[in-house]
Amino acid sequence: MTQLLIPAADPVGLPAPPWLLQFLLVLTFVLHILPMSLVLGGGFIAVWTHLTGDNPAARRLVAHLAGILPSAIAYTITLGIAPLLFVQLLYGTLFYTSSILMGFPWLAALGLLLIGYYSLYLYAEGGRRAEGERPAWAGVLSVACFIGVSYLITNNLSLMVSPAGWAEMYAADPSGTSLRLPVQAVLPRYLHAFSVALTLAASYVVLHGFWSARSGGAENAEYGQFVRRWGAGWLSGALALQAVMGAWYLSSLSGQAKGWLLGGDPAMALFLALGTLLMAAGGILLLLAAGRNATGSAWAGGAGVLLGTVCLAIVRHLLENRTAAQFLPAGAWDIRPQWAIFVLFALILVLGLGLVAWMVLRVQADLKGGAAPRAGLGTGAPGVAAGKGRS
Amino acid sequence: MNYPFWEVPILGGSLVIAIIAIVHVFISHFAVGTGFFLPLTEQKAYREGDSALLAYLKKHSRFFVLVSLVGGAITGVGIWFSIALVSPQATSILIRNFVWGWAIEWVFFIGEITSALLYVYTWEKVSRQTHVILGYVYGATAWLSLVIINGIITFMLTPGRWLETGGFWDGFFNPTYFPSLVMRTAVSFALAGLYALITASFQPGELKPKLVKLAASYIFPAGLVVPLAGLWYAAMLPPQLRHLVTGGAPVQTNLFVGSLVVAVLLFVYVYFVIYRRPQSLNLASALLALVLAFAPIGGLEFIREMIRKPYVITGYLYSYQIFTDRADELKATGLLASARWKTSRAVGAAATEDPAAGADLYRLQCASCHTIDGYNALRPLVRGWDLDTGRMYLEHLDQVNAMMPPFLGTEVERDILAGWLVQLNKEGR
Ligand code: HEC
Repeated sequence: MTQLLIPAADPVGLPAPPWLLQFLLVLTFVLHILPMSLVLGGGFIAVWTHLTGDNPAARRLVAHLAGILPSAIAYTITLGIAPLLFVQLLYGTLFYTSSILMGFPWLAALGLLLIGYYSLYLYAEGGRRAEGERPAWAGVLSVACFIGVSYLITNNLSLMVSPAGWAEMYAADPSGTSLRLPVQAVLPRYLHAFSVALTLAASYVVLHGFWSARSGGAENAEYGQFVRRWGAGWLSGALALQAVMGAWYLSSLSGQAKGWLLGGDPAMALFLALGTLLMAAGGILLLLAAGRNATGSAWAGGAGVLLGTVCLAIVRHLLENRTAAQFLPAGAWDIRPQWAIFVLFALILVLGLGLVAWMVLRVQADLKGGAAPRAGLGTGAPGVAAGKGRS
Repeated sequence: MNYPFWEVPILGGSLVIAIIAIVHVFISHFAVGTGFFLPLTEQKAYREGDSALLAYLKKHSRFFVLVSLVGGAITGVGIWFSIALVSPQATSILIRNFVWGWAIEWVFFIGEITSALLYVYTWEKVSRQTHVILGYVYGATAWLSLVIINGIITFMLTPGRWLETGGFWDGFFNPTYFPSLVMRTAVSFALAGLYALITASFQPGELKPKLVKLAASYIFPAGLVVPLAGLWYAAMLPPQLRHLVTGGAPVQTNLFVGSLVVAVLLFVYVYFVIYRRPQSLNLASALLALVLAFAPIGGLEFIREMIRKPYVITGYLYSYQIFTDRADELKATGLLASARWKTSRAVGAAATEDPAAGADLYRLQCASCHTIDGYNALRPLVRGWDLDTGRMYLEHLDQVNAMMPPFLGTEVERDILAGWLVQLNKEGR
C-alpha cells in the first residue's frame, strides 16, 4: 500500500460525542434528501411530462410540480446545511482535503445551483399566466444543473473516502481543476442515489393522484386517475432502475465493503436487507394500490418506501463511517463537549419546529375559514379574495 | 501545510471569498431590514386603507423573495464552501467551536424560509393578521440569524478571552460583538430603505413621495447609528489593531475614515437629492444611493479582513493555515519536511536541486495572500531583486509589512524561495 496522506487532527475537540453527531447527521441527511428527491426526481418527471404529454391532466400535473419545486429547492439547500456541518465535524480531515483536490468543480456546483434555481423560477412563473407559455428550455436547464450539482456532491463524497491516490494526485497536479475520479468510479453510486430520488418523487406523484381525487368533482377524479397511472409508470421504472443500479453499485464496491454489507458487519447487512425489503414491498404495494384505487394501501406503500429510504440512508452512513474510520488521524474524535449550548440548540429546535408548525396550521385554518378581511388588495369586506383560485 | 493548498490564479483565494462575501453581506442585510419593512408597511397600508401601497408591497415582496431566498442562500453556502477551500484549518476550528451556534442559526433559517414562502404565496388568501404575523416572523428569524453569525464573524478578528479559555461564550460575545451587531442592524434597515427607493422609483404620482418618506424613515436613523457604531467598533478593537485604522497604517486608516465619510455623504445625498424632491426620484438617482452604500459596507468588511492579517484567527492561526504556537518548531524542522502536501520530493539541503521546491514554498508561505500576476501580485513586488535582497526580505517579512507573517522555513528553504522569487522576473522577460 502506498503511504497515505491524511491531515492531522485539530487541536480543538468535537463539541459532542461522535454518536450524537452521527445521529444528527443521519437525521438531517434524511430531512435533506426528501425535498432534494422532489427537486431532482420531480423536476425530471415534470419536464418529461411537459415534453411528452399534451392532455389537460398532464399539463395540470406539470403545473402542480413546477409550482412546488421552487419551495422544495429552498428547503433542499437549507436542510442540506446541517448534514454538511456534521460531515465536516466528523470527517473534516478527509472532507476538506477532497474538496480542495477538486476545488474548482466543487465551487462550480454553486454556480450550477444558482442557474438551476433561477431557471426553475422562470419555469414555474412562466406557466402562471398561461400553461402554454411555460418555457421548456428553463425546465430542461434547471434539471440539467441539478443533475450536475448532485453529481459533484457524489463525486466529492466518494473522493473523501478514497485517500489512497491523494498524494500522487496533488503532486502531479496541485491546481484542483479536475474531478479527480473517473466517471465510471462514481457512476454506479450516483445512478443508485438518483434512482432512489426518482422512486421517492414517483411515489409522491402517485400519492398526489390519490390526494387530488379526494377533493371531489369529475374533473379532479379524472385528473387523479391520470396522475396515479402516470406516477405508477414512473414508479415501476424507478424501482427497476434502483434494483439494477443497486446491484451494480454493490458489485462495484471494494471487496472489504462488499464483505461488510453482505454480512461481515451485522448492522449494515441488517439495514441493507430491511431497506431493500421495505423499498420493494412499499413500492409494489403502492403500484397495486394505484391500479385498484385503494387509498389505504397507497399510504401504507408510501410509508414503506419512506422507511426503506431511511434504512438505506442508515446503511449509507454506516458504510461511510466505517470506511472513513480507517483513515481518520489519531485524535480526530477527541471530544470537548459543549452540553449547555447543545441543550440550548435542542430547545430552540423544538421551539422553531413548533413555530413552523404553528404558521402552517394557522395558514391552513385561514385558507379554509375566511371570515376575517383578507391580506392585500381586498376592500376589507369578508371573503373578498381577488387572487383566489390559482394553484 | 496540513491540508492541500487551493491555488486560484489571478484572483487568489481570499479575493474569491471576498467577492462572494460582499454580495452575500449586501443581500442578507437587505433581507433582515426588509423583513421588518414589509409587515410594518403592510400594517400602515391597512390603517390608511391604501390599496396602491398594498399593490406595491405585493410586488416588492415577490422580488424580495427571489433575491433573498435564492441569492442569499446560495451566496451564504458559497462563503462556507470558499472558506473551507481557502482556509480549511480555520474553518474546521470555527465549526468545532461554534457548531451549535450554526445549528441554532439553521433553525432560524428554517423559520425564515417557511415564513418568507408563506408570506409571498398567501397575499389575499389569509387574514390580514396572519399575513402580518408571517412577515414579522420572517423579520425576527432573519435578525436572529444575524445575532448568531455576527458572533462567529467578529470572533475571527477579536477572539478575546477565548484564546485563554477556549469557551464558546468567551469567543462568541467577544470584544467587537455588540458594536458590530448594532452596526449590522442599522445597515440592514438602511439597505431596506435604499432598496425600497429603487422599487419606489417605478411608482406613479402620489405613491412615490409617500414611499420616499417611508424609505427615509429607515435610512436616516441608520445614518446616525452607523458612524457612531463604527467609532464604537474601533474603540473596542485591541490597541494594536485600533492603531492600524487610526493613523498607524495609511491604507487602512484612509479606508476606514473614507468609509465613514462616504456613509455620511450617502445620507446627505439622500436628504438633499431624494428626500427634499421626492417627485424627481428616478432609477438612476436611487441606484446612485445604493452604490454609495456599497462603498462603506464593502469598505468596512474589507478593512476587517485587512487588519486581521497576518492571521485568520487573530493570535491563533496564521493566514497560511499554520497555528502560531507551531512557528518555532517549523523553523527548526523545516517547511518541506513538515508539509504534507507538496509537488517536490526532496527535503533539507537536497531540495536545492529540486525545481519544484521553490513553488511549493511559495504555496506554503506566500500564496494565501499573494498571486504571481494577479491580485497582490508578487512578480512586480520582487522586480529588481537579487538573491541577497530576497534573503533579506524573507528574514524580515513580518517587519517589512505588519500584514505579513514571518517566514517559517529553514535557512536552506529561505534561499530556495529567494531564488524562486528572483527567477520570477527572469523567465523570458
Ligand atoms: C498574511 C498575508 C501575507 C502573506 C502570507 C505574505 N504576504 Fe507579502 N504582503 C502582504 C500584504 C498585505 C502586502 C502589502 C501589499 C501592498 O502594500 O500592496 C505584502 C507585501 C509584500 C511585499 C512588498 C513589501 C514592500 O513593501 O516592499 C513583498 C516583497 C512580499 N509581500 C513578499 C511576500 C513573500 C515572498 C511571501 C511569502 C514568503 C509573502 N509576501 C507572504 C500579505 C502577505
